[in-house]
Amino acid sequence: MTITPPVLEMAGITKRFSGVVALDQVNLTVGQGEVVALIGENGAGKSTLMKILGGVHAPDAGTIRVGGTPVIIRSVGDAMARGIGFVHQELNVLDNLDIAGNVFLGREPVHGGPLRLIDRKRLHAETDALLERLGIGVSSRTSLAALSLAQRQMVEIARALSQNARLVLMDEPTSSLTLSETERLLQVVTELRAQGVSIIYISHRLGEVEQIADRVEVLRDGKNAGTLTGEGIRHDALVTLMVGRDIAAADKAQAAATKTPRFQVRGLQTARYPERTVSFSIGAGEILGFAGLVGAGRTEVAQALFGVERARGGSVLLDNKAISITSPQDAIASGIYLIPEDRRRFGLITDMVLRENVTLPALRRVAPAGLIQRGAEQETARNACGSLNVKAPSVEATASTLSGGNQQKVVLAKWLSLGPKVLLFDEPTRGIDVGAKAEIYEQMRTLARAGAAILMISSDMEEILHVSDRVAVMHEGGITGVLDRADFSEEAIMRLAVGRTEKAKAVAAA
Amino acid sequence: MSVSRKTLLLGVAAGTFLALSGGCTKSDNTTAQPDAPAGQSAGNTAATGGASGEKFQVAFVTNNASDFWTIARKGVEKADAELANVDVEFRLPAQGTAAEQQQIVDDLLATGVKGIAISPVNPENQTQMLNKAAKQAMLVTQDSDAPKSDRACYVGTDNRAAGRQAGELIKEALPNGGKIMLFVGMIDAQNAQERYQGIKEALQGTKIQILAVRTDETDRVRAKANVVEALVRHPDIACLVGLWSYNGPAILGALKDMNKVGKVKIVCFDEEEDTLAGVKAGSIYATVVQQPFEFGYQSVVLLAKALGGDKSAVPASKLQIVPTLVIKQADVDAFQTKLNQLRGKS
Amino acid sequence: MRKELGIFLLLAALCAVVAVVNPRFLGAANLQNMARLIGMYGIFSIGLGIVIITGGIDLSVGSIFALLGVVLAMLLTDQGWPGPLGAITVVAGSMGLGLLHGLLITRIGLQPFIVTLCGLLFYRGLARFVAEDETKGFGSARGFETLQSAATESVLGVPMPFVLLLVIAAIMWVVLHRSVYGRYLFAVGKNEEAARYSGVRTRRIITGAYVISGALAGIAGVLIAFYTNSIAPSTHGNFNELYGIAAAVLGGCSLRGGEGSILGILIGTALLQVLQNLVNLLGIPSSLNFAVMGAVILVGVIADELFKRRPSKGLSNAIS
Repeated sequence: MTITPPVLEMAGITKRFSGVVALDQVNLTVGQGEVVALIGENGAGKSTLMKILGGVHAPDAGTIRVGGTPVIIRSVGDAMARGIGFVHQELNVLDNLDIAGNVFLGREPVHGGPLRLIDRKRLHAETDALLERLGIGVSSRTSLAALSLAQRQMVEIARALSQNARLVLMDEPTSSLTLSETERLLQVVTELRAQGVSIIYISHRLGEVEQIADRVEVLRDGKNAGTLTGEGIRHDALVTLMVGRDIAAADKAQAAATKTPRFQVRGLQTARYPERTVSFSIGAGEILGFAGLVGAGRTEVAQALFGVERARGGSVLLDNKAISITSPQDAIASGIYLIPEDRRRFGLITDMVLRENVTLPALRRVAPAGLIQRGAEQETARNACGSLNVKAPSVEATASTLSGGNQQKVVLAKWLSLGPKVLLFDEPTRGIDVGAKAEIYEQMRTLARAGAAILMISSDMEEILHVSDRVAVMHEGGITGVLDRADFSEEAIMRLAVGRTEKAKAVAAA
Repeated sequence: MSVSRKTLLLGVAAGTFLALSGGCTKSDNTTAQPDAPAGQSAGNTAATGGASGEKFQVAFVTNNASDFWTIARKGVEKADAELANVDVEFRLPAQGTAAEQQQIVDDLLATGVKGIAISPVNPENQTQMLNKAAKQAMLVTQDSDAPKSDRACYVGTDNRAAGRQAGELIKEALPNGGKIMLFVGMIDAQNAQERYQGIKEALQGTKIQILAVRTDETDRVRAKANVVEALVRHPDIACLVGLWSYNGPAILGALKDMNKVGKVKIVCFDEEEDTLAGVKAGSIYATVVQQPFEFGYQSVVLLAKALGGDKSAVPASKLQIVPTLVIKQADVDAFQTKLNQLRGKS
Repeated sequence: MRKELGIFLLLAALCAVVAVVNPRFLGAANLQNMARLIGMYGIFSIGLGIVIITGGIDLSVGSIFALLGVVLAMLLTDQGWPGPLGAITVVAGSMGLGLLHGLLITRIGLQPFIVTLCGLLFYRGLARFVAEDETKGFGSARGFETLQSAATESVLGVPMPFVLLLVIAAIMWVVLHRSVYGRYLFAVGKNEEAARYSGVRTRRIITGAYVISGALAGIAGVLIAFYTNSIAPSTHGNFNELYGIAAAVLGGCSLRGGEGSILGILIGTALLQVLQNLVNLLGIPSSLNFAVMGAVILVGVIADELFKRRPSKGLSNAIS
């Protein structure tokens, strides 16, 4: 009986970047029809390993075999030609094309003949079939610009699937998907496995990993830290291997919230849902979670409160004083700061270095008479990055070279020195590893303890239940209910999220 | 500072509208009297000819937008005022290209002009365009001839003869021979070519050597810089020659910057203000002027007479040469006075 | 620094070649002439660079030269205004046009290309109209010698425009690379949205860039007007905006915005002028003027690009 060679075999992979060892003799094997989860803290080396597979970097040592044959991969094209498909964490989709155009970019079906015109019928038919398979309810003719972040991720997945790859690599695929969408994706993964396709699944969502992985490879500090299979795949076992030590069960949020409302929003009307109003209040030291399905209107509320999008109506009170917010400067002047959902587009300027990013909102403080004092600026930046434990060679590192978690810390660092009164977090830990997540939660609690009112928009149920003192749930532009700690449950939140208002706890809707 | 978008948009629209409407009255029409009622010239009633009441539209088209044509325009305006049977339109192609002229001529023919006096930018290659125009209107070339075309007549300078005149002046300026350099906007322009030929003819057999012709594509900064750089490359140049009207002042300016006025001779064409001042001061040896006023005047008169039925207006040779004049230091004052008279100033 | 090094080497190489073939290149007369031209063109190139850093562009500079030129000439000779007053008025006018561009771009959201393209057409037409298609000049010195000397005289042998360029470059260097405004400018150029989310007044910054560019164009315009001493409204300043944009882009200003340096723009301007100069000094026919410029710039940019890519070790694969 012949033994089919594994679809992918990476052996003894080593990679150095200017003296720093990113990977040290790492092995990774994936059999046919196997789902292998690759987990590890940020900086553990997962991204680097995947970049080597994608031809972006060449390993300093080690071999790669695809289907038993040794290969050298020089580009994503090479990898694709060998049957390896990628679904990236940072989306690579083109806004000015429709879904079908994106999915088949560069591989459009053509009519025969010298002109090689694109066969639009086939293009859309095949894409529609894929989208249906993924359970996304949009037509393949929809323009990318009209899609939400979550929907765009589905397009990436559709693209990989359209390539009929033998091995699909998914990097944090569910980070901005809703519960139902995540379920559908996991189903698709299972189906693919049944068809003999192998999957490398990189995720920080350990719950998902438990659900679908046949085998889990754990990386820590650039080395293999352990393998778990079958029954051995359990949450604490995974975390232990990842972190290298036992982590005590996550501490529950301290109920330190005071009852005096610090931040009150009355009758806020966003441009997207002008016929609904939103009212809520956050006490000093309180973390109010904002749950809801994608598209419920939570980000719009945050944007209106930060002055990015003008509200159609409503009033805001901070410390019982009415304030008017028509621009980000107004919000910042009042001590209200936003950590946006899309950190690469709105949170940071990725081409600038850490120092420049961190000092941007408060630049005048290190620039008396309008001229920037380099020394003061560097010190401020170092302090801010230090207090958040940002892992980077120095404050002169370019923001784009940082991992997602560290980037998010930099976004937060911008506001720390300004003494926040209100912090608006929109999906604060999307695509961030366990270690960095914990640090960010810690910071949130520290800020809350210092008296800030915190709003946390999140699609991560675990996060909502863990971190919030109270939870407001939105549905189609309005708040359907607010839950106290005592009433927290996934079920309760989901029910409110799909529109069924709580009888006893209904809050002002339209 | 919250100017609402609507207000700003309205403001801009209003401003643009006002500007455009203000500009409407000042068209290319050279009728000297403002808004004269149709067919009447309020001022000068001493109309010549004009027994028949028919009025013809004629146009005068130049080859570029240099000051030279400002004087021609005065001639055109004078003829327009004197003649009752024509209304003259004056058109300038800003970039000085054949394509622009084509467009202008097409527009004019579409509006029904009966006579066109044009200085073609590139006569060799514009024959087709000129012939097409000649079928629909009476076509006269001025300043630059297109002998291969069907033009009825040429009114203007014999550029080759003018070139020879310039050549003679250069010989006078450099009795012992020497190196010279020529400067022009575009050497492929007809008049530039002919003047160059004329100069070469006149200098044959002499000890005067033409080093090169440098072009500046009507960029006056470049024109001046070309002169400076020419002198840097050949410090022993004895004479600088400017073929187009602004080259003279550009050369003079360059010499002033380099403190070499008087050390290098200048011979140029046409009569820009700075050129005449230079000749008077002795910095420029002499200039060859063309009498553009006569181009304007005589071509309009010719068109008017011919359209009015006077067959003898067009000479048998189809050439009506306007002689060029040489202006040296002693001649400047008299010439300036005459110019001012023609321009209508004192 | 890398980008500037490449173009600086190209400039140095060119100068060396020309100097060897024609030593008069380094003579006082030639250096002065070049310095003067670099001064005049460099001043407005810096302005264009600032605008390009915001991710915008200004195509109207050449036409503004024509408009300002005829207005200045008419104010000084026809209306008899004192020189400095005329110059200040004209520079203020240019800043006003810059403000207009900035408002149209930031408040109404029009694309800079379109706005300034319309400017290019409109101001040229306006210039011709105001001057009645006549060439306007300053005649011979008539009471505004000080102003004329700014364009034509020298200070200790260094032409005034070049001195002015150095002063302006120094000031703009501080503004761009050391001041808060400069940091905001780069932020807006690299990612306008993210800058806005950090509280930067992006509209003000962008409008400010156009006003600065207007001011510098005004100053350069006055100098150029006095250099040529006559302004033909239909051709004056033609294509000058392209020289400015080329200088800025060669000097490292990316047309996508967010990148650039004053030093780079200066080197870019110098490079363009040296290229024009060498055509004359090496006796290359005038007709090849632009061909030479285009070819040398292309070669230089290609070499720069290849040079930048060299260190990628992506192809080395140690298979044990």
